[in-house]
This record gives sequence, structure tokens and C-alpha cells, in this order.
Amino acid sequence: MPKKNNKGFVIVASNKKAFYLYAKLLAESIRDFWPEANITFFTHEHWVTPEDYKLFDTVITEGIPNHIRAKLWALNKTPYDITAYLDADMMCEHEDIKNIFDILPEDKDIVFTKNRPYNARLTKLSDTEEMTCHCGFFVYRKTPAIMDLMGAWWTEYLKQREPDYDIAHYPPTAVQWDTFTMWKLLTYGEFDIKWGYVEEPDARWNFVNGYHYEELQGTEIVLYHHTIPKDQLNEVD
Amino acid sequence: MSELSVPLDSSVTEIVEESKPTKEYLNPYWSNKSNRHLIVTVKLSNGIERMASIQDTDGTNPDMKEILKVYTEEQIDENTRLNLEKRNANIKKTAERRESQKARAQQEALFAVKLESFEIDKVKNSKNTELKKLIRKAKSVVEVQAYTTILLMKELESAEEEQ
Repeated sequence: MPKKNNKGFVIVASNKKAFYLYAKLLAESIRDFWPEANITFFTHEHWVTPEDYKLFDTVITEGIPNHIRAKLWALNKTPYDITAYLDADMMCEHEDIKNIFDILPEDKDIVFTKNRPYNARLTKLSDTEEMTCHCGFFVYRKTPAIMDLMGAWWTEYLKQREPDYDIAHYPPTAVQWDTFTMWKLLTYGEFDIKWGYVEEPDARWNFVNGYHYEELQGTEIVLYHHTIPKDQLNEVD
Repeated sequence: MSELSVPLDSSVTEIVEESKPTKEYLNPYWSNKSNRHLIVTVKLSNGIERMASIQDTDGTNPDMKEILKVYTEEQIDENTRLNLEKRNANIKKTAERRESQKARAQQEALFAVKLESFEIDKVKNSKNTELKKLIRKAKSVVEVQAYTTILLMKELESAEEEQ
């Protein structure tokens, strides 16, 4: 029987130490606004310090691949019935974080914020096809179909990165984006899921660096999505 | 002397004046209709395309005459409307990108200051969550600095009281 109020955050840090360091800053920022929040952290054993066990409720290190998209591997291993996945390069800035699980309506299994084409490197795939879901933040329900979708996200992404992958008529640069994989799965996959977008102003839940403040429609940022400087990512662990 | 005769089966090649595959005019639109000033893409027979500007105030310009044989004024008006729409969309897009870049730079600067604030041990380890929240929520660099200063002062005061 699932625990009552079994809702929590999943944060993943792999491949670059900078992700681990920023993931901890993110967790600290959540704790400042919501000390009782459930936070599970997937990362590498050799980075973990004793203080991480105080900051996070659960630290999972077993089996985590050393991969820039290790998040895709972790998503179907969430311990929660409802999960808010957060990219490590986010920061909490508002107490409304306590309401984060309310943004997933009863009739949806997963919700995303919308991509802003003016702020994205690639959204349009063809004249009629566009990647509209931002995959750096989403809230999802642990249903068998969603777990299958998450599993497929990881395996399909790995296939997409193979040198002989057939990109068809899509832009060749799309292969690097997990957003492209999710778009394909949602568009052409046969998963019995109900997905949707976070209700506006969705930008406050995933305010990506470069978004126009008007996107907030008079509300305040809850989660700010920054960019880790390249020099920090390149630092040797 | 024998008569000059043409064999019956000999074929006759008709000489036809070759029509010159000269130019094709594409997408003409008004730059200034009252001045009869057109912009048009001219496609040459070798495939090369060039943008041309044609002004015909007295109705004698040969290019204008050719264009008006192919396109009606209404078609040129419609092209003008579509080109204007396209141009305005591009201007809007460029302005949005520029604004986004500006916003990005401002937001990065603000975020960097917040990080710096939380790198100060007294801030990071402070139990004053109300002030820490205000730093996190701050909307300007000045606000971050002000709340950081207040928090540090309070930390110093409480340290003095403890002594």
C-alpha cells in the first residue's frame, strides 16, 4: 500500500561534478521554503558526502550510468507516486513550491511546461511538427504506462545517439536532445497515457533563463532554470 | 544544262525566329507604388537570380512593361502585402531574440549575485530562513545585496549577544 502523501522531488546528477554541486544548491533552496519536502537524489557514490544524507531523504547511487542524460535512466525508479522531476540547474525561489503537486490535474498522468521558441535552440522539426514540451521539468504519476514511457525515453535516446541512427527528415542536430525523443514517443508511441501542459502561467514553475518576465503574468518565479557556465562543466572532477 | 531540281524526299527545315529565354520576373512588389518603384527578383536563363529595383515614372521602362505583362497590379499589391507581413514578422522575431538576450544577461547577473551571497558561510549556515527566502526571491542585484547585508548584520548581532 503506498504511503500517504507519497509525493516528492527527483534530482539527478551524473557525468559532470558541476551537476552534483548545483543539485545540492537546488535541494538547499527547496528546503529553505519547504523543510519537509521529500527529495530523492540519484548520483554517483564517489561524489556523495555524509551531509548529503541530511539534505536528501534518499540518495540512490546503485547502477546509475555515467551519462549526461542519466535522468532518463532514473525517472522510472522514482520512489514516489507523484514525482516532480527537476533538472539540477534549477533553483527554488518561492514558497509556492509547496503547491507543486497540485499542478498535475487528476485527469492527467504527466504535465510539462511549454517550450518558448524565442528562447530555445530548436523547437520546430518541420513545417507541421514542433517540440512543444520542455523536458527539464515535469510532474508525473507513477502508473505502469508512465513507467514504460520513461523506460522507453532512456532506451530510445540511446538508440538516437547511435551513429547509424536514421534521423529521417528531421534536423540532424535533434539527435542530441532528449526533448526530441520524448516528442517522438508522445507523438508516435503507443502509450496509454494522458499528458498535458501545466496551466498558465506555466513559466513560473520552470522559468528558463532568457524568458520574458511577461510570461509570469504578474505571478512570481517558483523555480528558476539557469545555465551552468561551460567552464564549470568542463572542470575535472 | 540540266535543270536544277530538288529531290522530292528532301526535308525542309523551317527557320523559326528563336524566342529568347531571357529573364523571368519573380515576386515583384512595390517599394513605393506612388513613385512606380518595384523590387523584383530577376531569374536569368543561366539560373542566376538577382534582386532588381525598377522605377518607371513615365511608363517607358522595358522591365516594368515586361513585368506588367506577367503580373496584374492586384497581384503586385498582394505580393507587397505578403512581403510586408513577412518583414514585420522578422522584425518582431529579431526584437524578441534581442529582448531575450538582454533578459538572459540580466537574469544571469542576478542569479550570479544570489549564488555569491549563498557562498558566504554566514549566509549559507544562517538559521534566519525568512531573510534567506528574501534573498532567494530578490528581483534585483541591489535587493540581494541589501538583504544579504541585513542578514549578516543580524548574524553579527546575535554572535555578539551570545558572547
